Amino acid sequence: MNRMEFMAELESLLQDIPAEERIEAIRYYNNYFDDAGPEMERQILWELGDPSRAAAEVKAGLGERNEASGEYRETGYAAKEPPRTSRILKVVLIILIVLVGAPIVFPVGAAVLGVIFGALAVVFMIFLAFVIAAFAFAAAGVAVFCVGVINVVPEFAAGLTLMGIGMILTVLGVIGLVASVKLCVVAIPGIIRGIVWICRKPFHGREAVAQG
Amino acid sequence: MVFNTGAALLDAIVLAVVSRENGGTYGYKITQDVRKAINVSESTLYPVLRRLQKDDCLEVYDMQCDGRNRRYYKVTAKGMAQLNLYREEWIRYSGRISQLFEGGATA
Repeated sequence: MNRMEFMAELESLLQDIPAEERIEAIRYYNNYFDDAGPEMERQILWELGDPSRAAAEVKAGLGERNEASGEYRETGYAAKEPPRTSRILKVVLIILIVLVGAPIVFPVGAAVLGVIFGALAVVFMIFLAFVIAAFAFAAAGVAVFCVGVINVVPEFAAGLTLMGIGMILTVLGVIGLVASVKLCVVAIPGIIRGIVWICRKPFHGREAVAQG
Repeated sequence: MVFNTGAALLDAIVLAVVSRENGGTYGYKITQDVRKAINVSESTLYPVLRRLQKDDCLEVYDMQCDGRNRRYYKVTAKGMAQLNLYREEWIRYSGRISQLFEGGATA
């Protein structure tokens, strides 16, 4: 690339700035090459590198004077990302997100809560069903025993059989009742503790972060 | 160089370089003079000169030289005031830093 090519490309890269600024910049670089002399042309072109860099610096200089917006390094002007957030913008964005998201978030949230509640209810009902089944077993045993006692006079053998079956059923029912109640005593507090732990986890996590 | 030159310091350096020439000086020479002190690229100074000119710290005039117009830069009264401010700030700033470094050496 020679001087003419460099200047032509620089000018084309500066088409989107005001004409006055473009003319000033082109004049500066033309002056620069003239003052350096033809013998320095190659070295200057080599040091300038791509015209896009010079163009970027010209454009960066047009912006607001701001110490935080960039630094002049050995390699030239290094633009820092300008902070694009503002408090008001953030608040407006949050409101917008809530407004747009509400029709989706609320039904989905309600559905998720419903599913969780349903699952918990199912677990509790399973344990309750064990207890009820064991109780029913025992009750049936007692009933069969009573029927056996009533039947022992007219039909001795059948009455005794029924009484025996009733006793076995009652014992099995009582054992089941005791076992299922014990199971509930152990399992239900465990489940509740688990739920509480899951619910508190996010808050604990946040505390840990805040402390850390 | 390890240290980066902030925009304000570069302004100060350019003002100081231009102020040394009573008759004014031109872009290529300013760049060469600044590069005696700090390593800046050839394209770094144009935006600085342009901005200082817009801030009325530098004034420009064109003068015939070798059959063409050469643009000269000169420090204005406002530019001189700004330069003096930078000078005082620099003495305070560099003094404090030097003190820290020296203090660190003796401790």
